[in-house]
Amino acid sequence: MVSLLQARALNYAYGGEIPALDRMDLDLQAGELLALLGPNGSGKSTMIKMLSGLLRPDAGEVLLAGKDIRSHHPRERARQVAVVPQVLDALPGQRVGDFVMGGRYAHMGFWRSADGQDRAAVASALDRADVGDLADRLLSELSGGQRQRVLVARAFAQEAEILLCDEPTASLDPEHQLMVLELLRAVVDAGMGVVLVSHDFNLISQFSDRVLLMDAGRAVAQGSVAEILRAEVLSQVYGSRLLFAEIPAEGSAVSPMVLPWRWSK
Amino acid sequence: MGGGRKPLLIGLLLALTWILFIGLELIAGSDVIPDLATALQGAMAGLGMGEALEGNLQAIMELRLWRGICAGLVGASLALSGALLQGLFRNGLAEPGILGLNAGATLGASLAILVLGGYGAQFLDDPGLGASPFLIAGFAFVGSVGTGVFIMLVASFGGRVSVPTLLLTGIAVNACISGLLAAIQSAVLADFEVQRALMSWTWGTLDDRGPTHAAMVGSGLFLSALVIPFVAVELDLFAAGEEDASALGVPVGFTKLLVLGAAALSCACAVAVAGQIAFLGLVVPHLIRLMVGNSHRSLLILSLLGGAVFLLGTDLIQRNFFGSWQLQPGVMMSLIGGPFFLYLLFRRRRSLSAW
Repeated sequence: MVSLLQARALNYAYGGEIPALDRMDLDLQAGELLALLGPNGSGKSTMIKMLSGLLRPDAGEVLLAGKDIRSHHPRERARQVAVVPQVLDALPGQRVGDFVMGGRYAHMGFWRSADGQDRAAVASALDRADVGDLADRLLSELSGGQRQRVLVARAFAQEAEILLCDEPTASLDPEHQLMVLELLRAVVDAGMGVVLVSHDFNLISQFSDRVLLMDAGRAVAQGSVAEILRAEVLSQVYGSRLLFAEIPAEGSAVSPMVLPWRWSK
Repeated sequence: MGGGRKPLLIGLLLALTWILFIGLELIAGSDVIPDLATALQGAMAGLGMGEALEGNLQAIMELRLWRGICAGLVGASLALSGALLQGLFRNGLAEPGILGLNAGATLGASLAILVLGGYGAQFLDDPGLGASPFLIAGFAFVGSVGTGVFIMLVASFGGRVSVPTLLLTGIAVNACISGLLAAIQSAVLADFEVQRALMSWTWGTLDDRGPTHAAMVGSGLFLSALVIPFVAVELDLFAAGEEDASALGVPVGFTKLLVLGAAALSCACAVAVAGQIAFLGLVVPHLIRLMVGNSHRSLLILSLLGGAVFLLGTDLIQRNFFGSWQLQPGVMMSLIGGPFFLYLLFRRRRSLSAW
């Protein structure tokens, strides 16, 4: 196993006051889909920003290729780590094709012009994310789900070996949720490392190799899907309003299923 | 990114219009209207090539030549500055004035005029007499850059410039300087000549410009234009937020520094040479954006060319139709640009909503 990205004892507080991360460790292997699970405000998105080098930890370090991630030049870092953000600060007035070309920035040369390789990478990424037919549309004309797939396409165009996805399926219909996860699974099986932030227990259950459960900026538990998606573990963090079941998977294996459940009062 | 042939075509057209307008500057005027050959001979002689025209005519040709050259360069500088800042702030309302550059330049120039005021007003108005125009331009430049740097220092924390803080700081500093300027103007209210010099500077002027002025605004524009290839794609990526740009590999801090530096330098040089010309830095990038969209590679270059054409065109209108009125370029710009911009906004309300 090749370790792609390591976080060591990360501490972080927003504005120096509101604690967000408390001695967080994380280790991402090549060929692994690691799910980050936890309630709202548990520090998952902060963790993604740390792992992509966008935030400087108050203490601890993130190592990329054995070197502090913030000591890499941004372009060099972006060739190795791609991010699918949860939301954009603003919607650029761009067409989808141009926007996805932004993923090639770190590969462009001195004059920042796109060559044939860049255009091929963009075309392939658009197709894989099933947005090839939207290339000439304005971002502002797209539905939320289409936009989310465009963000995935842009990250694919970046051709990094590490992909950090912050709720990439949050506004997708069931068919496209499965499609995006299948895409992520495929790149993981081809050797990439993916960190997936999601609230969807059942997608995590079907697609991830390992689950890291966070609460209040700490790692509460870590292990395989079967070890984490259990009532004893999840109830520490989510309380008791969950329904647990098992779905038959391949062979004799079962896959855990977890649903938010109202339980009658 | 983006592209196609349309921006190239528009660029070519603007460049040709720029040259044509400088030619018109030579020929057009309220009193002396030479033929083309005479105008060209005078212009070449003014640039140090060929034989000078006889007597008065040569002086007039040279004044018109430098007026045209300065107008083009000043317009280009202000529009480029505005386009850079609108891209950086992701806000179509950003313009050089927000960095305090205009106000700072006016303050510097006003102080210079006050210093010179003791020598008598004729000293100010006559370009033939000594260094006063350059002293004023120099003071304006220092005031402009000084204010810009001050605002950026206040708005940055730990080496990072916060854009919202920058905008607010700009508003505050602009208010302070407005107060200072009003104080200066009311203090010299009795001194008509000094008052007149202050006022004319506040409204912008292209009168009595010479090669030194052209060199000043030209070098500022040249240095600022050099950064275009290294910030254009980056500004496209800023459109979705700084954090997103950083995740894609953009060195955010460095890019901001380049953009702010170039915008401040080009604007400061322009304002130092021609005084306050409001509105141009705001309106020209908008016009260009309506034509070619948001790709900064086209937007920055075409804004530069468009700014030159816009200010030259305004100046030509003023000199041909309002010559006896002596309307200054800043006033003309507001009178023509304001309604024009309103009209565009009204027509294009829907497509502008993305900004």
